[in-house]
Amino acid sequence: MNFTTEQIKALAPKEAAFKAGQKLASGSWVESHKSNRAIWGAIKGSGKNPYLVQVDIKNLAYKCSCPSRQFPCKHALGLLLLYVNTPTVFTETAEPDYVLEWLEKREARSQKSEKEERELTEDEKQKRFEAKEKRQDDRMKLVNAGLAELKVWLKDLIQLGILELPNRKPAYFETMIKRMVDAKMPGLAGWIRALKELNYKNQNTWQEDALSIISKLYLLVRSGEKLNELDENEKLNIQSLLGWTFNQKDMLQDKNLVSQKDQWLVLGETKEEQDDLKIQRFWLFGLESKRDAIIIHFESQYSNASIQFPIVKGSVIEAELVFYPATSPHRAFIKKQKEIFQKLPKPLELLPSWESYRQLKIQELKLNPWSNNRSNIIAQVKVIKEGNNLIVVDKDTAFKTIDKSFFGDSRSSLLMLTNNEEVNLSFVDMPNGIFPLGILHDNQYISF
Amino acid sequence: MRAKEHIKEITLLGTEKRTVNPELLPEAIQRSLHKVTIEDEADKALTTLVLYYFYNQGGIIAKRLDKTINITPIQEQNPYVNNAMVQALQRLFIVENIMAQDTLLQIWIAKAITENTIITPALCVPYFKAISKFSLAFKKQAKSTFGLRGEWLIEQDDNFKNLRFTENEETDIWAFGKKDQRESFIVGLLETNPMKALTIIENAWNNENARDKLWILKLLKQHINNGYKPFLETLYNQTFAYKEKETKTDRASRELVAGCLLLLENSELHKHTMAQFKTYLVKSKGGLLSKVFDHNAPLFQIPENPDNFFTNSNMLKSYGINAHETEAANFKTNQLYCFSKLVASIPFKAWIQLLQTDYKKTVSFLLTNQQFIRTLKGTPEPILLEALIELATSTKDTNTISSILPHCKNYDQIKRLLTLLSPTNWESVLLQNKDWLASSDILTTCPFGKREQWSLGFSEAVLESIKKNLDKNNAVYDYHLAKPCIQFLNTKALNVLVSINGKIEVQTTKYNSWQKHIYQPLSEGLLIRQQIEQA
Repeated sequence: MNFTTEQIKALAPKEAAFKAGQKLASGSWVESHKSNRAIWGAIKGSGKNPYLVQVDIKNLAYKCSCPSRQFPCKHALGLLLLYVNTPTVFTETAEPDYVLEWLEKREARSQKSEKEERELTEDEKQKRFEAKEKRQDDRMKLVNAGLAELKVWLKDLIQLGILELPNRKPAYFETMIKRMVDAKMPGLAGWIRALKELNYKNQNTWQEDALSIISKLYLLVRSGEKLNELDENEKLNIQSLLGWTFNQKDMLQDKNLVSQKDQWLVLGETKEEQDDLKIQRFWLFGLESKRDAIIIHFESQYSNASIQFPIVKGSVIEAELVFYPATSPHRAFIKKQKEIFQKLPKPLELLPSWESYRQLKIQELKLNPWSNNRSNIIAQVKVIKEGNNLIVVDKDTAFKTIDKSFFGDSRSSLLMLTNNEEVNLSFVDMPNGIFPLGILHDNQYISF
Repeated sequence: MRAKEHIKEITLLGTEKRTVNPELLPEAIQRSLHKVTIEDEADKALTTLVLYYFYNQGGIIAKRLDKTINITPIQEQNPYVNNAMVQALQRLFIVENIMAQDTLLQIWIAKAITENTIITPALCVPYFKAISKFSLAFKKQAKSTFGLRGEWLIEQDDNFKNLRFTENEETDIWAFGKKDQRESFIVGLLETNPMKALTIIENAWNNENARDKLWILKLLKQHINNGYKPFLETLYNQTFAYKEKETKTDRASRELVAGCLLLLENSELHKHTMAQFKTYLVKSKGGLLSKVFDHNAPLFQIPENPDNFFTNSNMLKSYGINAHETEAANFKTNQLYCFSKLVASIPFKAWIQLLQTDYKKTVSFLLTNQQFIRTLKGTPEPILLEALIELATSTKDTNTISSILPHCKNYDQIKRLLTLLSPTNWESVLLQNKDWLASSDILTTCPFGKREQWSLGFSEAVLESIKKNLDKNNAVYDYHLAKPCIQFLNTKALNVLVSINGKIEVQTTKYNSWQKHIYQPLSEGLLIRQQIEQA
């Protein structure tokens, strides 16, 4: 695969790691070799022996013999940068034992998880199921109590009117947030926190925003009350929204979950920091399935959790995604990744208009009324400036406004790249407008 | 709309004050509401809110533009930079050394301008951000690489408003800018369009304070041009003409104006002065001096006592020279001090004509003649050397510079002259003084243009010299060495750099210092320059 320097920069865990990698890219590599699936090299470090660095370029992964806890370490980044800047220094040779062993282990590991799945006996499965059922029952008792309490809280709120909300003390919200956490419904706690943190100084928006949150919250409470009457998929959807967590290992063994093999175009990436938590969101779009997916990666300063399969925005990855349970699956993780491409292998069928997107959205909302932040690609739109706003106009002159959170360099790039021409634009549908992610032109995708 | 207002009213004021009236809601919501079991009024309001919210979510049809879009895509007239240039720029943006980044970007822009190419749309944003920090003159130069799309973006996007050039930009900078901005602007203009610079200076002259006028006159003297004569003569005869009671600044200004006029061979002051000088010519009487000069060449003799010309009063009134300055104490007589001041402003050609000889001999006369030598702590020193360096700085005459340089012993004087040399002379002078090669102070005097590079031999000598210093000091202490080397080192010298790198023992203080200050920035910079060259 051909990487770009920008993409390698995006892979670095920290800016400093990338800079150190850059230095090493022009540093003293004792050797640098390549095969059709990997690159590897040796570089002098502070240890007695040179560090052995290897990168799986087909199914992006790294390994280095250095003691660094950063992942990828500066040596792996350095090797990748060397590969991008001066590919001629890499000689094509047979993979040495240490590379071969690592690649084979990786291959075996991915097959092993599938094997494990088969090795579970019916009895074991039953035991697991029963234990799970018991845990669920215990939890449901807490949940029902919590839902009842929240329902009363919401009713009180609407009885007195939300005009009082800006004058409420933080404790008013915090007590209920803590109560929801105790009732094992962190999802609901999150909604109440959002209600607490609304910008009540903005008279134009807070009322609409508060009503939107309250309506979603109330629907969730009412759905939670009727959890046992819902079908399995709807139940999982509600549980997920209430705050049930799903273990990826368990999910891999759950055959009822939706998984999708496809070539996925990585539309874009957004980063957000909440307190000490870094949240990375990758927006993907299946070329065959036309399915959109979001991969969310959390990292705190205490956990150096690296993403299992590094995702490079703007690239196409051939992978199998497993979706988290939902009536309209959206959030996913990568089960298996095979290949990375820089270009789209074939033209993609795109949304023809905003109206077609609306139809799609209606279907979506029918399945999951809480569905939000869905991504897609619309064909032949123009981006134009209307006052201080940017709008995206389709061929039928229907338009949507671009969200105000889309600003700075990305906004400048959008203006520059569209040049009043019709473009194929990928976007995320946000509550206050659309958030552009990139442009698709001649099977080449450029992300902002 | 009616439904929205109704729901808002209920939720804002509360169900204690307002209750749900289904008739005000859309039919679909009414039907759904009818199917739901309602617990109480609050439940009814909340359920209505839920139904209305989700009804709206799916039901909103995108608005339509009530006008036709009459915007046509912008068609570029110049080609985009090629792929290799794009790659070089991408690589350049992530160069760690900021000084190197600036230097390389200037090289990149110079190449793009030469080839009449423009920036690709995908790189416009980081490119504009990088250019924004440069001087106005440079930004204007780079403007040709923006392309029509780029210029359109600059107009649209306030992030790049400092790349918008208005008609009054120049006069605004000159009128309201900070001193460094003003200097960078006017020096750029004095070098490229002297008459335009003069017009700007003249128009704002009356608004300048006395100190700034003095500063502007210094700049004019350093970039003297025949076209300035009328302006300077007005200043000489009117503004700064001698007055009984005048300020020190006015006197200093007259000295600078007179100096400027003396540099102009067609000015009245120059002609008058040279006519006066002719009266000091004497015939050689043989002996040592006659061996130096041609047989019949005349000699120049400064009077030992004040005469009609070399009087303090004449010098002050005509040339603004104050013979009572503390500096004058370094000279044997006031006449010699005044003469040294005049030497700094009389072009060498005039001396050659006056003394009827050549450059070398004239320099030799002015620097070695006994009357122009003083002895300081037992060491003979030429008293006119500083004046000749000042003259060389104003006239930028390479012959004068080459003739003076061998007489210079002082490091600062050498640096001032090196900047004025031609590239070839500069290299050969430095190669004769190899100790200078590992000094960033000396290397930054490089007179090469933006896209020129040192010869391979010179580049190798610089690297060897740096290595020699490294061996001696066990570390690189001159942290600014990388900048001139990145800009001018011959790209073919990369092999020498790599070879030196291989010879240094790793994981030592010496190695780390070399890596940090020399090898990494240089190898990175040279690779990018190679890429730009080959693009």
